[in-house]
This record gives sequence, structure tokens and C-alpha cells, in this order.
Amino acid sequence: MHRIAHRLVLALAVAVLLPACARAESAVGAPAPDFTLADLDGKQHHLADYKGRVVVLEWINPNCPFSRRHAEEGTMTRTAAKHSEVVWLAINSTDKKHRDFLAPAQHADYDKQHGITYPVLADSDGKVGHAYGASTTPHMFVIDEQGKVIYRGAIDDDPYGKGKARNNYVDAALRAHEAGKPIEPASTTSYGCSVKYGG
Amino acid sequence: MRTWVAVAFAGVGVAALPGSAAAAASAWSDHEVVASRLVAGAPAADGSPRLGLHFRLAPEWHVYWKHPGDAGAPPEVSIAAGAGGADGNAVETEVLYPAPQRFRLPGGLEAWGYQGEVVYPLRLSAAAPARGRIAASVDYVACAVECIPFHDELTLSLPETADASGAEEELLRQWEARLPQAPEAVGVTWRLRYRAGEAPEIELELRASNATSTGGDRQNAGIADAGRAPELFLEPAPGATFASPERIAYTKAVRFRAAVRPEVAGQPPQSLRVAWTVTSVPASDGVVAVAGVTTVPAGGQAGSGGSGSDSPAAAAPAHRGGEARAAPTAAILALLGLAALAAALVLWLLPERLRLPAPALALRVAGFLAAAALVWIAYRLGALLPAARVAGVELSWLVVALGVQGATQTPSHIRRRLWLAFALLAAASGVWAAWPAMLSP
Repeated sequence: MHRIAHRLVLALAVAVLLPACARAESAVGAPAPDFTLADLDGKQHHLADYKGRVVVLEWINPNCPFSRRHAEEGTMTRTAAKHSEVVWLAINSTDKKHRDFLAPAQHADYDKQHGITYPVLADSDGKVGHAYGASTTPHMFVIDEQGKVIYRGAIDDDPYGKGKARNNYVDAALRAHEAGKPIEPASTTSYGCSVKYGG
Repeated sequence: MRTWVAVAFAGVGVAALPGSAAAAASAWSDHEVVASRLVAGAPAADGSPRLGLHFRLAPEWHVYWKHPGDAGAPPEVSIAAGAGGADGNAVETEVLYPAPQRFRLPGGLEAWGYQGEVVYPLRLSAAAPARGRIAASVDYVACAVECIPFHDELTLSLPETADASGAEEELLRQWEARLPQAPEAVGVTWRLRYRAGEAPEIELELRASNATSTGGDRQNAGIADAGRAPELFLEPAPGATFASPERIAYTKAVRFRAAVRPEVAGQPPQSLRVAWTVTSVPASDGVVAVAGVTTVPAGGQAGSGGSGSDSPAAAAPAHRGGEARAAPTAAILALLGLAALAAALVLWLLPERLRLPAPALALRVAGFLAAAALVWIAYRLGALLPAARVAGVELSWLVVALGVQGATQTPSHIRRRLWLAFALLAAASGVWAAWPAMLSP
């Protein structure tokens, strides 16, 4: 009886003390949350190791049509190639139980098909995604040489890829930063599928 | 799934039957999980066509509001008029957005939009011809567990004579009525505050002008009694976005708080342009959505009484009155409640623990009275805790302990939770097991 009572008290405590889940967001000008993640080959990438270089983070999900369209159109690979001095890292925060999750070998096939040569990092527990406040695929973050976020938001202003003249925000941010000019806009609303975090 | 779509559309497809020279609706563009069509009502007062973009969605799927929340994208519509269909003359078109719903996604994300069915009314420029062929090119994304973007081409020939009683006219009217209205137009007053500082936040309060306080909250015609609880939707502002709002609903008004997330860390905007929409507000016209765009300086507030939207900051103090007076009472009652709870636990647990003889009659009566007191206190706290919070009283330890924070708390919700908590505690204390012994002579 007392064991049951203790369990009930524990369940009650969990139910009523469960705090509201506060979402973190890395604002422009704030230090980019540090992380260490493995890529598809198992190589560890520690953000702090890239200090002194500009880093672009791209949240990716090959099963998201928005992510896939950009891969097919080469939006990211072209932008990365234009700024070869920049470290471009894709991060996949899809939960392992979600049907969008791809095993490393499948992801590698997808990357090969779409000419993605930059590292794709696995964040299946979503910790890094939550630390940055990544909510969509794609969702882009540009980090300067000092490790501060200088752009966050959409890749461009054309959610449906209708072929109109697009404003590639990441390209513009990188060009402005290289020229020592202020980044405008430094923050936009990203579009796409939700990041498939675990429950 | 196709069967579902076919059955769903069977009853509404008459107006779109092939062969009609002119119809008040286009044919459905039918996909597995969503179908879209264009519907036309009687022309607007300025003679321009009244159109709507109609979606029907399979269960669990949704399309998006003008700001989609954490993910998704709103629909994009291009309209062309004339014989050339999609290549005809482009008509300036504005998509209007009925009151949205909030969908919780895994990982603490939210999507804002519509499930089941929605009609987006379309506002066409007055120069648009009221008769002839209309073509719509529509891009949108529908999401459930996954997202699928779609592109539809929809055409219809506007009827020669307007049918103000047709099914499409009725449908269009129904959804136009769900468009957010200016609060002043429906007898709702509001006040928006912008607190700057280390943790900047905004606070929006709405009051139905017909709300009356008659003592017990069940008698009030207040905002919290609209059935569905009001929800606040905040669009990103220049220089800032907002955290998910916390609603503090009570009987006479509703107040929301939302943290301001500056675009640049540590630099909240000196003035904030807040585009806000509140759904399920009881007003003079029934339950409606209200919206406004308000610019408010840091540390200032704006409110109705003036021009409403974009009104300058007013110096008037925010509503506190009765709620502020209620706060100390709530705190005292809360302490009394906790003391009573502790007393009840001691009464029920000690005899068993100390292997004392069966409780005497006086002890049994005391136990029943304590239980009754707890139920009553839970009932009162349900109304008073939100009021205390509205008044700005920090009861954070108590609020956390009772689990009454969050964005979905109404007095009845809090009461249910408190009763559940007491029932569980009573169960844990062994009172249910001791019940037969207590009742027997």
C-alpha cells in the first residue's frame, strides 16, 4: 500500500511540477551555442574549433520537400561554393523514431546524389537544434569569426520556389560580412517543414 | 484517402458541374490529402468580384495563417481576369485570413492555421471585372506529420447575375464573419504594455465592454466564458519576435503576457510595432476574433479609447482594481489551503503510522471537514489564482507547486487540476483505504 502511495505521490509531483518548456533562441549578436556533433562518417565536429572562420549552419531533412527542393536546385551547394572560405555544416535534428529519419548510409546516398560535399551532422536528440531555436528545414544560421550569430532565418524569400528573382539572404549576409557592411536583414522568418524533434 | 475526398465533396460539387456556362465555384483541384477550389459570391459594394479560396483537408492536415508559427508557409495566390485565363490581366489581390488555430508540434513547436476546412476570402482591386473568366494560380503547403507543397490552377466564370442566396455566397459570408475585426467595432476595449529591461515582455489585456462583475464568476458575462478560451497570435515585429504567449484568463477580462525576443541580443526595440490577433472573444456581435496593429514605446502602453490601432502610448494606469485587491486574499487562501492539506495528511496518516486504535468520531468528523475545506479552497483558488497573477502578484513558488502556469489555464482548468491533486494526495495518504473503517460505527 505504501509503495503504491509513494508512486502516486511521485506521479503527482511530476504532473504538477512539470515546468513550462521554455524554448531557447540564439539571437543575432549572441554567442552561438557550442556543440560537438558527429558527421555521417563518425568524425566529430566541435564548433569552437572553427573559431576564426565564418560558419554557416543549415538545418536539413532530406524527407522535407522544402529541403529537398533546395538540394535539387543546388541553392545551398552553390552558395557554399561561392563562399569557399566559409565552413558550411548541415545539421539533421530528426528524431530517430520519426519516419523522416535516415540512417547515415541513406543520408550519404542522398548527399551524393545532390552534390552535398559539406559535413552533415547528426543531432537526433535535438539538443543542438533546440539550443539554436531551429524550427524549420531549412533554417539557416551564420556565425562570425568570433563565434557570434550574425544572421538567422530563411535561406531566401521564395518559399514555393516559383522561380522569381530570389533574395538569397545567406549569400547577402556573407557578402555584407566580407565587405564589412551591416547585415540587412539580420533576421528573417524561416519557412519549411517543422524540424522533426522527438516528442 | 481518395474515397474520403470524393465523399466529402459530393455534396458541394453541384455548382461546379461541368457544362455550366458560368458557375459560382471552380472545379475542385483534388489531391490525396487536400482539395482546393475558388468560390464566388455576390459582388462587393464597389462592384469588384467577391472570391474565396476554399480548402478541405483530410483529418490531421492543416494549411497556414498569414504567419505560420514556427514552421510552414502561408498560401500565395495570383489572380488573372479575362479570356486569357492565367495569362489574362493580373489583378491585384490580397489574401484575407480568418481567425487561426494553434497546433502543438513535437519539440515545443507551434503551427498556426486551419484544419478540416477553411475559406480564405480574397480582396480584389476595384478595377477587377465583375464578370467573365477568373483564373487563380495558388501555391500552398499542407502539413500533418509531413509537409507537402502544392500548386493549383483554378478557373471559374463569374455568373452573369449575382446569386446572393447561393451555397457559395453563404459559405463566403460564413468565413468572412471569421475575419478578425477592430476591437472597438465590437465593443471590446484593450490595453497593450511594453516592458523593456533585461527580460522585455508585452502584456495585452482585453475586456468585453458588456462584461459585468456580479460576484461569482458563473454569473459573469466575461471574456473567459466564451466557451473556447481566447488565444493570442503575435506576428513577428520589426526588430523582435515573441515567445509563445501565456494566457491568464479570468471572469471579466483576459490578459496575455509574451516575452519579447529582440532580433539583436540585448537590444530590445525602443518602440515595438505589435500586430496582434485574439480569437474567441465574446463581443456585441457574438464570439469574434479581434485584431490590431499597435506601436508602443519601451516602458509605455497603448490602448483603446483613442484611435485604437497605432494609437500613441497613453498615460492611463492599467486595469488593476478588483484583481489587485483579490491578490492578498488569494495568497492567504493558498496558505490556508496548504495548512489544511498538511493537517488532513497528519490526521489520516498518523493513526495508521503509530498503530493507534481506530479514529474516534471527532477525528472522523475532522477528517471530513478538512476534505470539504480542501474542495472548497480548490474551487476558490481556481478563480483567485489567475486574478492574483493578473494583478502582477508574484506567487511563483505556489504557482509552480500547483502547476497552474502555462498558456491554457482557465479557472475551471485550475480547479480540475487542484481537485485531481487533492484526490491523488488523499489516495497516497491511504484515506480511501481507510474510508470503510471510518464510515463503520
